[in-house]
Order: sequence, then structure tokens, then C-alpha cells
Amino acid sequence: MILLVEDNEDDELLTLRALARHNIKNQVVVTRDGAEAMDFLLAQGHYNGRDPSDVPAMILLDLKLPKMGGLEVLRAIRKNELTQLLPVVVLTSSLEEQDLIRSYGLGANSYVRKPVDFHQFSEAVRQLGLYWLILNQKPPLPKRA
Amino acid sequence: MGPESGFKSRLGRKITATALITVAVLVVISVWEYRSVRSLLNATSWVDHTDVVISTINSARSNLHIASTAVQSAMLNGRETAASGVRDSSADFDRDLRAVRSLTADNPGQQIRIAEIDSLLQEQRSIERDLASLEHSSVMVSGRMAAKLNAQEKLEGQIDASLSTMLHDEVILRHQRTEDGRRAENRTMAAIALGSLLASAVLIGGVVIIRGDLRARQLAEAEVLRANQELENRVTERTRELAYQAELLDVAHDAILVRALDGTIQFWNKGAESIYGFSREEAHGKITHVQLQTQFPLPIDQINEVLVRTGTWEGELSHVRKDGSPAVVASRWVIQQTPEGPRVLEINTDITASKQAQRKSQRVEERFRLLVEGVRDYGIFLLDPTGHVTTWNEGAQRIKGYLAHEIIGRHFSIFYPQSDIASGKPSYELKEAAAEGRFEDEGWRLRKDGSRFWANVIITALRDPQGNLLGFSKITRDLSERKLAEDRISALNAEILERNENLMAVNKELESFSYSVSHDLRAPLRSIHGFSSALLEDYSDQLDASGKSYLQRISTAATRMGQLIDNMIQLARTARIEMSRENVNLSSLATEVANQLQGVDPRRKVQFRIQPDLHVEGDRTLLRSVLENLLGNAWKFTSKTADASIEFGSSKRGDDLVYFVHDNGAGFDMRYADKLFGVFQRLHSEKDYSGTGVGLATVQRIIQRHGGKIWAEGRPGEGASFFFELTPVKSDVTAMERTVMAENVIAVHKGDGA
Repeated sequence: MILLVEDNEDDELLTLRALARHNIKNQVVVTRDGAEAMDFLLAQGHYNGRDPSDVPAMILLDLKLPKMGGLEVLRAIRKNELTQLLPVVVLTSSLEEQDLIRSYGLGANSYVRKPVDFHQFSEAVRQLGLYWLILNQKPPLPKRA
Repeated sequence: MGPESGFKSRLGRKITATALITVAVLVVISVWEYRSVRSLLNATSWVDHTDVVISTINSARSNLHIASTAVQSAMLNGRETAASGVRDSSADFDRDLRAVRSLTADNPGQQIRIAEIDSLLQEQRSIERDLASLEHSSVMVSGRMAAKLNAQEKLEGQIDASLSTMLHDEVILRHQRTEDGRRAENRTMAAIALGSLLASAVLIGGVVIIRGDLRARQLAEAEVLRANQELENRVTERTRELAYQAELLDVAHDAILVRALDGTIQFWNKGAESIYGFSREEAHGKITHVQLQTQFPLPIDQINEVLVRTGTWEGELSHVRKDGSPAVVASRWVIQQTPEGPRVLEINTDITASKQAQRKSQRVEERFRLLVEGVRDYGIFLLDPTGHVTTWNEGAQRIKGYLAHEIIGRHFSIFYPQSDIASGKPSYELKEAAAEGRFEDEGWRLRKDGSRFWANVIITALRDPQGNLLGFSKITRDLSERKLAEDRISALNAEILERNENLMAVNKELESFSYSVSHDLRAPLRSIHGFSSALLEDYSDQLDASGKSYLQRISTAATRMGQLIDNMIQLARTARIEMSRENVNLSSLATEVANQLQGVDPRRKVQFRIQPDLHVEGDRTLLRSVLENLLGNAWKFTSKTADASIEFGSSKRGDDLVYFVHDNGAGFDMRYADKLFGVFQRLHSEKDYSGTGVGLATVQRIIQRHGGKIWAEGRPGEGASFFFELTPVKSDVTAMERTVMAENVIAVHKGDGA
């Protein structure tokens, strides 16, 4: 499962297209803002009743989000025992140094800039999928009492 | 001789006087004695005379009695014999009475009594004659006769009583006269004794006086002798002294000369000889002021007037020595009165050397004074210990507006505003300067016209070598302009601070703006590009060639806009980000960039020549961006050059080290050189060479932020050179200078084999 946190529908569509183009068949859950993302991850609110142990293999996190910004989401993920080990890939338009520093500081596993060129974007998505979903060893699930 | 003759004549006069006085006294005494003796003799004769009168009166009384008895007997006995006895006795009585009368002629009282006796006698005589007649008638007449006899007896008693009274008077008289005689005798005796005594006394006195005089004379003579001796001694002593003084006068270094009132030199000591060079013989008899060509400080008439009035004169004279050189002397003149008339003693001290030294120091002082007075930018003046102005220079006049005569003598607190005076600032400043030696202050001061100026003031205490306070020097600078400038600067600073704050706010906005730009503007581009691609991929069978081409153009435009946005953001960031300063090896940076470029397009053959060990101080990231842009440009514009070469190095231009990136690519027209560094300015078409026109603008911004400058040279088709300077790193200057470019240039070949 891939969790895509993205408020831009175009980007969502393009990301899904890129994933599809490269035959990445994993389930993609899309949340529109940070709060919704956290609700999903922690199986609360709208996602109450979901099995929280069903965690995404990769979280693609945009930084610029309504309600709860990407960095806040990242901080919340790292603070919660359930989510703290999850691989988070920051996928954003920003090349601001500050964003890079803060993202890595808060424990982002990767930082990828969205290129304007769709072919480049597609390639980036392909490589991310290849790496995080296949090559990378998933972190162990937290033991729940 | 004189005194002695005087003395002798005085003695003679004394002797004569003594003798004369003695003789006179003796004569007076003799006369006096003579008269005493005469009066004694006289008194004796008057006693004798009285005795005669007494005896005569006694005789008269006895004769009277006899005569009366005779008458009676005649009456009784016979007439004839009795009668003759009566006649005899009466005659005697008459004779006696006559004698008494003549003897007492000088005594009126006795004469009166004699006259009474005469009248009584007449009466008796007549009775006697009556009796005589009776006798002839004889006895019958006895009664009448008895009566007559009684009368006669009575008369006789009366006469006798008168005579007795007379006698009594005479006896008293005699007693008186005897007394007189005894007194005369005593007087005479006294006169004789006194006379003898007086005479002896006068004689003895005369002798005593003369003897005394004689003794005095002897003493005086001895005194004269002694005085003479002493005088002689003193003359000898004085002569010796004078000789000694004359020697002393010659010992003195001062010129000592004696001259007549008209200036004729009478005495000229050795000092004068050595000062003026004229010998005693040369000077003698000359007129001083002619010989020495004296220049007087005052007209000579005035000097002489003072000299005559006060007896002295002192002053400075200029003389000319025998050798013609000038001499300045301190001269002192004293008038001396001598028996030969007044003369002038002149003592001259040679002060030529000290005068010259004084003149020299005066000249130095004068020069210094002129220097101080001439200083225009500083008010320099002196205060007395209580703070009154004593000197004034031009600077002070210019700054404060007072002329020297307006301010000298006034208290310096006049320069302070009223509030400072009230708080005691002026006196506090003097006190501080006196205690610390120096006081410095900045503050408002007043000009003469009452206007304020901002002053820097330094008050320095002036002390003599003993440490006594002589006063203060005060240096005042008008800092009004500086103050204005400072005020302006601080106003500007405040303004800059405000602007800075504004800029920071703007920057903040810009930051969020560029964030938005980078994030939000790119998203639609991504959509455009992405969906264009999707159309081409998914619907290519439904599109003809031109439809596909349009979609391709849309994609290209979107990509290009994305690049523009990125470059814009980079440019903005280079202007904005904080710079760090570190030692950066430009040579290795350039090599890295060259490798990177080669890595991106390995097919190109470009010769890189990079000078090693070029170190600068700066921001590594920004400097890397500079090299990326410059080398990237060179790479890009040599893409159509067959034998492309790119060189990075440095050269000296004057004192400055200039770095350069040179290529042999497309070059540019120098007419547009100034447009090279403008944002979005491009000299080549997008078709020929891709680019956004932001790169060189970014480079220029970075170089400027390093305090350097950048410029370019080129010709179309002949390549371009970009030069830039950075503020040099001192510690590396020598290292850089040691680097000789020609020897150390290395060629980096990135051939097809790489």
C-alpha cells in the first residue's frame, strides 16, 4: 500500500498515471490533507475502524497541504509509535533549502522534487516505487499490547 | 693757630675783665666804707652837739636860778651888792639862751619853746625892774614887793619848766643820735668787712676762672693734637681704601666709568676696556656717547632730566665696540656731587649675549604665537587661573565671533549656555582640569551673537616647574558640521534601520512569494506538461501531425517556464541568502564543475585549462554557482566550435588579482556587453543556444555580494572572456602571486575515451 498525501488533483492523477505506467500495482490511498492522512494512519476519525496495523509501504508526502502541513504530518508520524518507522518520501515542488533541512531533520527518508516535465516525473515515480516497494526492506511492525 | 690765638685773646679778655671787676668792686666798697665812716663821724658830732645843747641848757637853768636867788636876796639884804649879782647872772642866762637858740636853730620844736621862754623872760625882767624901783621907797612897800616876788618866782618856774622840757627833748635826741652813731658804726664795720670779703672773693674768682681757662686750654691743645693724629690715620686709611676700590673697579667685569655732565670721560676701568676695546688712554677725555656711538632708548634730554631730578637713571643702551661690533648694556647712572662739581658714575653690564638669546627666544615665541594665532580651525586661547581670557587667536575669533579686545579679561563662562552656568559647569571644568591636568568635553557653546554651536573643548592646566598653577589653555573645535553630519548619519541610520525592517518584511514576503512561486506556479506547469504528454500518449491515434506538434509545443513551453521559475528563484536566493566566508579553492571548484559538465555531455570534446591553487575567501555555494554559470556558458557557447577550449585562471591587473573564464566559442558583440548581466537579457536566440538570461545576472549578484566586480570582453565568433575580481585574501596573496600561470596551467582533457 502506498499512501499519497496530495491536495492537487492533477498531481494525484499524474502520480497515479506514472505509477500505472510502470506497473506498480500496489493499492494507493490518497488523502487530501495532513489531518486526513493522520486519521488514516492512526485509524481514527473518518477512518475509524480501519486496521491500523495495515501500514503503507511508502508514504508520498507533499509539503504544501491545507489544514495540516506536510512537515507537521511528518513530525506527527515520527512522534507516534505506530508510524514512527514508516518510510516517508517527501515529494514536493519546493527546492527551498529550509524545506530540505527541516524535512531531513524531522526524519524524512527521502526528498524528491517534482519535475515539471512529466517524463522526468514519471521516471522519478518509477524509481521511487522500485526502490521503496521492492528493493527496500520494510521496517518491522510495532508490537502492540 | 687760629683757635689758639682766639683762645689767648679770650684768656686776656678774661684777665682784664677780672681785674676791672675787682677794681670796680674795690671802688664801690671804698665809697661805701667812706660813706659809712662819714655817717658815723656825723652821728658822733651830732651827739656832741646835743651834749653842748644839754650843757648849755643846764647852764642856763643854773644861771636862771642864781639870778632869781640874787634878786630875792637883793630885796632882802642890801640893794647894791645884790643888784650887781643879779645883773651878772641875767647876762649869763641870756648868753646861754642865745647859745641854745643858735644850737637848736635846726630844731623848730626847740625854737618855739625858746620863743615862749623869751616872752616869759620879758615878763620877769619887767617885774625885776618894778622891784628895783620899790627898793627906793624901801620897806614900806613890802606887801607889794612880796607879790612881785611871787610872780617873779612863778615866772622863773615856768621858764625852768620850758628849759627842762627842752632838756628832756635834747636828752631823747641825744639818745637817738647815740643810737644812730652806734648803727653807723656797725654799718661801717660791716661795710669794711664785707668790702674786704667781696674784694677777696672777686680776686679769688678771677684767679679760679683764669686757672680753669688755662687748664681748659691745655686740654684743648691735647685734643687738637689727638684729632690731628686721628685725621692723619684716617687719611692714610682712606687712601688705602681708595686704592683698593680702584683695584676692585678694575676687577669688575662691568664697565665702570666716571664722566663729567657733558660726557667727558674721567675714569675708565679695565671692565670698560675689555667690553668696549678702548684702552684707558684712548677713552680718557673723550665724550662717552660719541666714543661709543650710544643709541638711547629715550631722547637724551629726557634721560638727563630724570638723572638731574632723581640723581640716577637706569636703562638699556646700544653701543658700538672698538671693533665695530654692537654691544647691548644695562646701564646705571648716578650723579655724584664733588668739590670739583657734579659728575656721573656710569656702570654698564654687557647683556649682548643674553639679549641675543632673548631675541632668539622671542622670535621663536613670536613664531609660535603667530602659529597659534593663525590657526583658523581651532579656537586656542589662554585663561588665567580664575578663568579669565588672556589670549585669543583667529580660530577663536572665527568660531566664537568675539574680537580679541572684546573678550580678553572676561570670564570664559560667557561661552556657556545659561543652564550650564547655573549648574556650575565652567568652574567644574576648570577644577577637573586643575586636578587631572586635562579636561575634555563636548557640548553646546554660545557664540557672540548668542547662536549655539556644538564644540569639542580641551582644557589643559598650565603649571610652572614648581607646580604652581599659571592658568589654562583651552582648545575649542566647532563640531557643528560634524555634529550635523553625525545627526544626519544617525538619522540616515535610523532610516536605514527602518528601511531594513521594511526590506526584511518585504524579503519575508518575497520569500513566501518565491516559495509560492516555486511550489504553486510549477504545479500547473506540471499539469500542462503531464496532461499534454498523456494526450500524446493515450490519444495519438486521434491526433494528426499538427495536433501532436501543438501538444509538443505546449509541453516544451511548460518545461521552459519551469526552468525560468527555477532560475528566477535561484537569482532571488543568491541575493537573499546569508553568506558565509571561508577559504575556497576556486581551482578545485572549477575542476569539479568541468567534470560535471563533461559528465552531462560526455560526447563533447572540450579542452579545459584550469590554473591550480587559486584560493579566495567567500561563500563556497555561491562561488560554485558563479563557476557553474560561467563555465556552463562557456560550455554552451562552444558547443558549435570545432576545437573548443575553456580556460580558467588569474592575472594581475595593477595591484588587483583578476580571475577570468575564457572560451573560443560564439562570442558576442561588445556593443551589447552592458546587457549581458541584465535579467532575462539574451544575446543569442533560444534556438541557437538555450538559456533563460538569468545566469549572468545571478553571477553578477554573487560577485557584487563578495565586494568585487565582473565584466566581459568578446567578439562575435571569436569567443568571450569573463573577468571578475573578488576582495583578495591577504593570507593567500603571496601564495597566489607565487603561482605563475604559464607554468602551472594544466590542461584537462575530456576526450571521448573518458
